[in-house]
Amino acid sequence: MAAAKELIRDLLSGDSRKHPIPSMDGPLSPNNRLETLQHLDADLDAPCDLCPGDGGSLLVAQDRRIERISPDGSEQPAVIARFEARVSALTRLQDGTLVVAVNGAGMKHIDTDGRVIAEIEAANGAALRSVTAIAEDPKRGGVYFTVGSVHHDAEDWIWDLMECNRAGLLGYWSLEAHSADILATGLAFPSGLVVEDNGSSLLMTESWTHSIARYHLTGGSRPAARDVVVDNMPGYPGHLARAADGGYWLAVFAPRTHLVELILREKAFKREMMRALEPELWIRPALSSTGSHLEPLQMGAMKKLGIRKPWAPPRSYGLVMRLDGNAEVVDSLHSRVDGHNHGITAAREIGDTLYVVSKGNHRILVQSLGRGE
Amino acid sequence: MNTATLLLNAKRARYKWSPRQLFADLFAKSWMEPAVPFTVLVVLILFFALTVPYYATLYNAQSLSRSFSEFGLVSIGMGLALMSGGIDLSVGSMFALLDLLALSAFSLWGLPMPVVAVITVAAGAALGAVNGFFIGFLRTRAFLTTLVTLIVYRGIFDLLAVAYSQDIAMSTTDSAAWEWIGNGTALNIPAVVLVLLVLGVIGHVLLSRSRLGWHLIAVGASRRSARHAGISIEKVLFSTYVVSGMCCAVGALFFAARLSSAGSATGDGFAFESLAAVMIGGISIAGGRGSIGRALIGAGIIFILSNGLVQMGFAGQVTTAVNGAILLIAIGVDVKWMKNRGKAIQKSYVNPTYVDFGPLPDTRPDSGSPYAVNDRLSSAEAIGVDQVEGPEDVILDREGRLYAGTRQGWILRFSGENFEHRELFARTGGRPLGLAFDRDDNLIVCVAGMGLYGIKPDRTIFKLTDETNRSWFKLIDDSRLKLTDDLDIAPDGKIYFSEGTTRYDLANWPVDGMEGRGSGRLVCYDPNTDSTRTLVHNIRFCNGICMAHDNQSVLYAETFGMRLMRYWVAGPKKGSTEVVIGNLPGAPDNINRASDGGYWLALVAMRAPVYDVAMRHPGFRMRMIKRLPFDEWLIQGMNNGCIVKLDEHAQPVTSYWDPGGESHATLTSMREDRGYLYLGGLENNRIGRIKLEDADPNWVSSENYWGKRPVAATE
Repeated sequence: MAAAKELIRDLLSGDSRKHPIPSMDGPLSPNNRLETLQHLDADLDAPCDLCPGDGGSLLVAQDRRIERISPDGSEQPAVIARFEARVSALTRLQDGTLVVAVNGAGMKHIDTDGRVIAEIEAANGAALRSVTAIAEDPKRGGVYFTVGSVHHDAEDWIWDLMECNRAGLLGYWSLEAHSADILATGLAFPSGLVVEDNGSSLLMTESWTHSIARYHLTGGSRPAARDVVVDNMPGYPGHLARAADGGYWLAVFAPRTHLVELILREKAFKREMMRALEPELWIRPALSSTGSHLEPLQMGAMKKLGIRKPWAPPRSYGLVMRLDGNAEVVDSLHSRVDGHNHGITAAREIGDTLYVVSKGNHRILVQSLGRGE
Repeated sequence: MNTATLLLNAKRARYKWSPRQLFADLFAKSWMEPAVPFTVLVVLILFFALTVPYYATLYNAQSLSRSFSEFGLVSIGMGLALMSGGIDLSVGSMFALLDLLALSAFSLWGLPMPVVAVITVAAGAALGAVNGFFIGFLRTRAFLTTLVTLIVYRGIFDLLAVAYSQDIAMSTTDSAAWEWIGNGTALNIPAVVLVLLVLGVIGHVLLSRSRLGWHLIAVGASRRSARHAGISIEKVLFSTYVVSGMCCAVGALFFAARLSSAGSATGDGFAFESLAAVMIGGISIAGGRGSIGRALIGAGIIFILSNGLVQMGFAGQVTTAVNGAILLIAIGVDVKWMKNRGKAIQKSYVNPTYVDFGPLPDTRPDSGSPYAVNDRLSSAEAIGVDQVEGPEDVILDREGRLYAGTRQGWILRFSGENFEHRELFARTGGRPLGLAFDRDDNLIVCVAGMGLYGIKPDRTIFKLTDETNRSWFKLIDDSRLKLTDDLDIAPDGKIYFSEGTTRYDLANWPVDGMEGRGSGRLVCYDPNTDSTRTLVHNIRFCNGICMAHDNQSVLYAETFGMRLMRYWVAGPKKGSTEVVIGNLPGAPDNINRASDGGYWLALVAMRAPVYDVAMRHPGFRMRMIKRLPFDEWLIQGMNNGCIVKLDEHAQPVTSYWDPGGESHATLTSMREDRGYLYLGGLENNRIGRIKLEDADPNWVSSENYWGKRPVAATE
């Protein structure tokens, strides 16, 4: 039966679906730049996102807390806020306060000492259990946010991928009116968001469709139109951030592989795998790979003469893309299969430095952009 | 039995036999190619027998087979020309001219039948020689040359026919012999059919079993390669067209005797019809592929069809049109088949089956299981780093020198205090895998792709065996040993060795595990009788071999069955097999003796839990294999090193790990010698060794087999 369906699918659909994953070439040609970067000398256990703090410091979301870290190591890291669950996103507003997403508990608007100013757990009746990205609208005084899925917490994203859910939301939280609106539903795990051109449009990544979409805003409560600007990326796009000279930084948190694409269609196999095994043992994209003998191995990843080929089919990968104003890829930084700086969950430009959060390797990588001079 | 068990059993049964594999095996056979045209022929005959009145009668059969045989002979001539990479368009004209000659010789000149026959065949040879001379020696194009001779011969025939056909028709010459070859029968079989059968058999033997036939096929397949191989293309092509002319002559002789007239339409359209015939029979227009049988099957189809249509009352033009359409289809199918046959076989070759290994044994570090993960191999000393590529097996001789086979086909020898001295001991030409020393210190090697070989201490290489008995009821000839993997030697000199699989080569050996069907063998070579015999069939990758310490049984690793087996060679259970360890946490590779009376077993790959799930989903594996590139397939966990220590009953005691395979991934072998354990890996760039604290430091592997002996003076 599955075979018949496959056949029909093959007959009806064009080439792009049969060969779904584009190869990485052109500006995406693999390099080792992410692997060679310096990293912050701080004791990090699970960094996930970061934003600028006061006085040149960084505010890093890791596990259930937000820490203030000074990039030069001059001050001891200090916890400024603790929450009941993991922090999945944070952003700093123009007035210096923060909006933080907490797994399963919606969003909190806090000041720099961690005092909660406002919080929200649901909008239009939908629980905001996995807010994945927050972006401030400087004109309206609120934040746009994305919810990855209404079915799972953000850290359980792999379940959402494997279930092929389209259960993400785009919303707007008015901090003044203390109310939130859902602007779009049925999204494929949106997980990156920026407000463009002073509030006239939004750019949003959708991980499970490997795409970036643009919403045009007209000032009303609903976005006017939606364009898919990039389709069929070779990885799962996540965190999106603005670059100082126009354009964006895109963190691709996991790679796509042919095997995973196949698994997603193999319902019976997938069901038994998910029922019988822990998620760490699945055939899946991951933020990091342990190399354990219990993890699945693909033919090309077999070690030969003591070498793990960097071009082997990846389980985890490190990739940051530099996009121009039209969301076209112009440059990229990689950590390949033989590297360690995998699972990039955020890449943010602060001052003239790019900070890259490798959640897979528990590190914050530092790239000086040298634009200041 | 509940429903779930029933369903599971139904699933197992469904995947136990694979019709797809049967098809793949069948289509790999060259004799399968004419199967389709043969079926068409039988169906056509049945069809006309049922629809045309009086079709299935002896008289009609005799009459049909006479005309068919004449056409069949011409088709053989055409078929030979096609197989040599050319074409013979002049067959029809030759046929007409030779028909006229035979009639003239008999009717006008009054020569006896045997003389007429000789003259006709000689003339046929001469006419063919003209073609052959131009095509073979002057290198003209076969198509143009025979097109010209077609016109020339036809012209001559037309001229002569005008002059002589009247006289021939008026002639009253008669002879019993002439009459017999025309219309006589033996045992109700027409003479011409007998001749066709005899010639067909001779031709088939010559084509498929003789030097000339092989040369003909070689020239047809690739002229340049044939020349490089030293074949005289000129002579081969020349003789091909001579034989083609002779075939026409024999056909024409019988035609003449049967009809005794030379109408102007004689042989008209033969070129076209015989071309259609041989192509539909499966002889490729590209050359190098075909047989006499196929030419005759094709001729049968064309003949039966044209004749049947005429008998059903269709006009001649219709038959011609039908023949034309058939030719067009045949050419199309020929091109497509040539292009896609290999792919079709390849696509249906791998046929995964349902495999359930059982619950995965616990390997957690604190589990207390004999398979608990540790890092005892992580500190292994490295020998020959980057100087050895893929030492699948390692062995030490009496002097403590270390031998290893490599992927280049070499046997390397390391010597010196720290094995720093590396030398090339021998080149095998294949992929050396398992190693063992025999009583005379010869190094016996399983060379994948070649068979079982030996290397004397003076480095001369000798072959022991490369063939075993062919198994019954298997389409594929499996007598040739392909993936000889490991061996051990009994005290009586018998060599027990394994063949991993008969279906895959070494480059694709993990695919055998993906498929999960056993095709490996345990084989025994007896040097006393120089005979090779298969002992156990259908093993899911037969790998490491070890004589038990008491020499009563052979332990063999069933790699992709994830188990260790025992075959009894003596004692009450002689000839039977039993499972020793049924559910290993990984795929067992080589097994060797330990100094304490136990054994060492290498696990080349670990079972990832999801791999076990995949093995229970053959449909998923099938689609994975078909849809994904090779490098993307899920495989066994090769990036790991694990050795299991077994006790004297070959039961697991403890294990030695290199987690993640940091220095010993795909760990395939280990050999204990003088208190150390030496490690080899199929894909590794080093040999490792660890000191065994509680092992006998004076235990030498080859002395354990063959006793102590004063070391002979080395070369």
